[in-house]
Amino acid sequence: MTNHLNTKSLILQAWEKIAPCWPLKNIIAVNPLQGFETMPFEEAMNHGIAYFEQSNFPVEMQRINTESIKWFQAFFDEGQATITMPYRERGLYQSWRELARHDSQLHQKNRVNKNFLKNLSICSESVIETCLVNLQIQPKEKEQFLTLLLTSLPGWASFAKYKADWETNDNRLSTLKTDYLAVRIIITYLLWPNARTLLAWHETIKTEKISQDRITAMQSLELHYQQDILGKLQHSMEDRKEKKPKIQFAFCIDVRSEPVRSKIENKGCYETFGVAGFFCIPIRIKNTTSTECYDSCPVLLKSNHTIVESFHARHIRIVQGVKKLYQALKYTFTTSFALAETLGLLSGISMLFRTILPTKTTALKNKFINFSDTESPSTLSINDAVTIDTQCLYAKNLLAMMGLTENFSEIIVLCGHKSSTENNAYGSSLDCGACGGRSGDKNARIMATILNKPLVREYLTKEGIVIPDTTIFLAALHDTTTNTLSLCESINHDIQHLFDEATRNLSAQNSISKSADWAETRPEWGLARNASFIVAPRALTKDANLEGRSFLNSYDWEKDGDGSILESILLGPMVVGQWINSQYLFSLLNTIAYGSGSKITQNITGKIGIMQGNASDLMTGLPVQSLLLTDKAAYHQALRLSSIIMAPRHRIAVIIKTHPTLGNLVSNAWIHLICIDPEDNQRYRMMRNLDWQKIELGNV
Amino acid sequence: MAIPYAQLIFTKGMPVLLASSVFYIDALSGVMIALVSFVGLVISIFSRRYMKGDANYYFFMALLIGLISCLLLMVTANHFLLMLPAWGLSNLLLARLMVHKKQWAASAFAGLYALRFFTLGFLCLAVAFWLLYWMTGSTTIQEALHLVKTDNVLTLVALSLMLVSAMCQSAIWPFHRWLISSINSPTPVSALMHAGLVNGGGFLLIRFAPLYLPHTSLLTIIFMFGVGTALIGALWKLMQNDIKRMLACSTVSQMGFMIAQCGLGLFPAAVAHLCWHGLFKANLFLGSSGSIKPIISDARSSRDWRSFIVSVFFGLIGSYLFSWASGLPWYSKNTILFLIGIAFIACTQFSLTILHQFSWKNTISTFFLTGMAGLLYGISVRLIEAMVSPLNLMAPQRINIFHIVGFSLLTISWVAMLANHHLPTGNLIERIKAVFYVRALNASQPHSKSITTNRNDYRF
Repeated sequence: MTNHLNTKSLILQAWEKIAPCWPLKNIIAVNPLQGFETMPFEEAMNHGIAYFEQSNFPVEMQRINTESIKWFQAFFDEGQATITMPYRERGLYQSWRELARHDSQLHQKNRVNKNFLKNLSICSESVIETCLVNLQIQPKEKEQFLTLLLTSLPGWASFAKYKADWETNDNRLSTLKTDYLAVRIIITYLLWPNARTLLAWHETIKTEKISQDRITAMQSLELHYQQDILGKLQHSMEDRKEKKPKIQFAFCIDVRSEPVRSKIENKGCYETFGVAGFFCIPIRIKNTTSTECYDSCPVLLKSNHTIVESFHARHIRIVQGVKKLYQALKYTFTTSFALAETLGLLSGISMLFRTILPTKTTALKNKFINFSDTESPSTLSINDAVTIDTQCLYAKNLLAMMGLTENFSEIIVLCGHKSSTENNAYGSSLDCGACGGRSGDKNARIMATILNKPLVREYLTKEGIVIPDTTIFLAALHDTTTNTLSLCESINHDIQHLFDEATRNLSAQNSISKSADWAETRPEWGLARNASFIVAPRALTKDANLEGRSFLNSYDWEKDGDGSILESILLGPMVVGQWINSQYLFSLLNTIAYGSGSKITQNITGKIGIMQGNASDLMTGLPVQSLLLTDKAAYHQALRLSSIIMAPRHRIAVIIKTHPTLGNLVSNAWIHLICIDPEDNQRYRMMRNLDWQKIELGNV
Repeated sequence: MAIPYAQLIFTKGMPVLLASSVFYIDALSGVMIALVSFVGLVISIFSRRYMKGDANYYFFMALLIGLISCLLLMVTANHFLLMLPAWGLSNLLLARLMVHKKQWAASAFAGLYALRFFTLGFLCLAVAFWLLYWMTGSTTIQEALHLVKTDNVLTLVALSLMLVSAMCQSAIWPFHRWLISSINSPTPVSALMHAGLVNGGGFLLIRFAPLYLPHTSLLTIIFMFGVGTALIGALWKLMQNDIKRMLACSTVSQMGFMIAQCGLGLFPAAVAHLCWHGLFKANLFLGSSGSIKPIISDARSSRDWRSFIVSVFFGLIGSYLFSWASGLPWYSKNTILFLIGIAFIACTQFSLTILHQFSWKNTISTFFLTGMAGLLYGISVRLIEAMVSPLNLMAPQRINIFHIVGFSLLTISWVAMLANHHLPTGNLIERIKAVFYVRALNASQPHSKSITTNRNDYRF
């Protein structure tokens, strides 16, 4: 029994080194070295080199990985294969156990191996124990050996980690971590009885260290950037409350919001805010047409409310029906020959027009096939899912987080955001991370509806937030690829006119054609070049040209007496900012080990992830087309996030020291923390020992 | 050596645009030129944007254009010594395009691996051409077609060698594996490969069809390889877990069908299949990067027996309309019946999918839609067949037992998919399914050296 407990904890320990990898339908940025975040940055980089960046595996690993990939592809498939892996519903190990005995690639027609596979224990944990013994792994090497089985095929392990830790609604997955290792170790045992050598091999490559030059280069870039941005932030801050703005916009903190906000503000008397794009309402959306159910909130939160989204348009059912018909003919025997012959001409025409007239063709396609339609938007069942009292709380919370508790305009627009790209597996990585890698329009629509309710307004008035009756909240969608803003629901002509006035001509000339082009591998730059996270009132950043490199979270320290708002900003959005930043950082530092290589040879497996070519380890992270201008020239810059907070420094220090997650990030130098202290108007840097050091401008 | 000459000639009422000792452009060449130029043009424009920023951009574009030109030479060649180098060079260029980045070992291997098959095909073709030349003394395909004595053993040898060459090119079992291992290629290369290069085998058989037609047993062998490949390719396709290998297996299956059509003597139908499938597959490949939505339906959802009977009836009507639109007889005692049979199965499946629940309103609309589908299918086939009809290559064969077995297998496999949920379950059946699954899964894997087992070995 103690042995059992022991193995269990060894298994869990081994998995600690692996970062999760979200599926393509909602790509969430993660730090690929998440498992090493409790270590100093440089040390973690060294571990990364030893575990993830090695290219000279012992040759035997090739066959082991080939077979593992084959089976993981089959098990983790979520909608590609028509004839799926038998017994899959029993879970990874149980189903694989039934099939592996027939796999001649594993037993190689050898009787001993055949018997071994036939008599595998039903318990994946005891199989791991057996194999560890058979492979003559010493007790104190066990954890390391199991770790190496994971890190020698890190991509698939990452996906398994996601399934086990983040998709908890599936019972089959409760033993996934053990199952996964059981499959790995059995294949290893069969194909490489002398796999012990792996440990020795790891010892030899462990000594490799990251060059100090690279770290120094990164540091000097970071210092240079901080110097520059702090210089830019020095001026403003004078003119605070002027006249009442015509429209107030709330944007997501995403770096892509910043340039749009500046453009709108420059057009006239408009005010903009930055707040996490789920508008502080953690919901789960159930789409009645696609029957899909997904969380529309940051992955760190748990969604409490299931909102049903239903569509009215009849043509959606027809489109769905045609699709079904097409697939029914395509994914069976014999009929696909007729299908290809019948649709050949249409395919040719479609292919031609998508290539030579992408903008017009995509516009046509969106009109007839896609579900986006402002004339008859979907219905969201808010009242069934969220009680009115809770709605009141969310409303108050949102306004407090935005720092918008007075001086309301007549029109307040909540702008969710999404991207629109064609033929792009990474589409969801360009969507709203705060909405779990989805479009942010539903959250915006729901919050706008809630904030317009008389009951909610009454409650807010009691709480001291008086919104004039003439004020109306609207929901809009910011398309980050085309940089256009549009209202989610049709509204009366005057308001529409005011809205158009503010949001006209935001986009660059070629962005629309890029968005519509199926041959475009760089439809938009997403969050590339992100470098800082600024928690401050807009007045601080308004006149600075931040070049779209900053997450802007509105925050007014004077309205946050107890620091609770700052606390939630640092724990929520800033941590997410750091995830995003490290995803870009590491994807650039090693475009293959942490990034996913070039899009041109990518192959989508199981509808969940990316492989390179015929078959490979799952490629996690971003493709080079999201980071580089060309194969040789970078667009993104390798910088760690500089978090710049305008608040009294003792308040920040208290929060950082109370929460070990935050303390870790600063003391291990995963982020830079800079304080602009409004009390003495000085800048301070939080050192690794969590003490403050004054920054002299011009000498950062 | 004959001096090249060019003139417009008409033989046997067949319009030939250009006939010289070097080039020969007839309806078949015309259709192929149209296909290659269209696909080539679209893929080139696509690649200009898709490959932007790639370190080998200019090299890639140059090779791509070189390959397309080479293909155009190949489909218009008349002289053996033009056809042969064009064939070889286009395959060589394709292999180089497949590799794209030499530093990526798995990709370099996949290119070399494909080249092995191409070399075999090339050698077979070279020997076959030499035999034809040796027998007739003519240096051009057209002349040889007229002069060759078909009952000669050497002719049979030449035809068999050419068949091997065609099978390598069109990835027919047992020469299919290079195609399944070809996914390390950049997406546009895959598109061009599946829409253009793999059709080479079909083109070769059709070009030499007059020589194959008298050899009915050879035709039957071609048919069997074709149908076998069509079936096994379809099974693999349904099992694949990644989009591009699924498409590759699907091509294997479709090529099998096309070659089977050749084996039935229905060469114009094969041309139609080759063209339409080329466009269909190129489109799917180019759009494969966006394919992240799960498949929403399969043909297996259970339905009641009434809708099945109605659907069979509608399938008959659909196949009748297909025959009417395509100009093929609905009932005949020759291999055309095979095509009608395929149309019948397709229309039945079509009707079944719409007819979820049996109701009169549903039934009437299903009737019209199925009829429309049959008509569309017929028109589509006729479009191409009409173009190549001057070649007089529609030579349906008498039905033999192998044809019946082939068609039965196609039907049974389709019915098995439909009836999957109604089949008896039990340990034994589950076990058999498991064994088959593992076997088929292993058989459809790419060559192990073309797999990137450690992602750090990947290069771009």
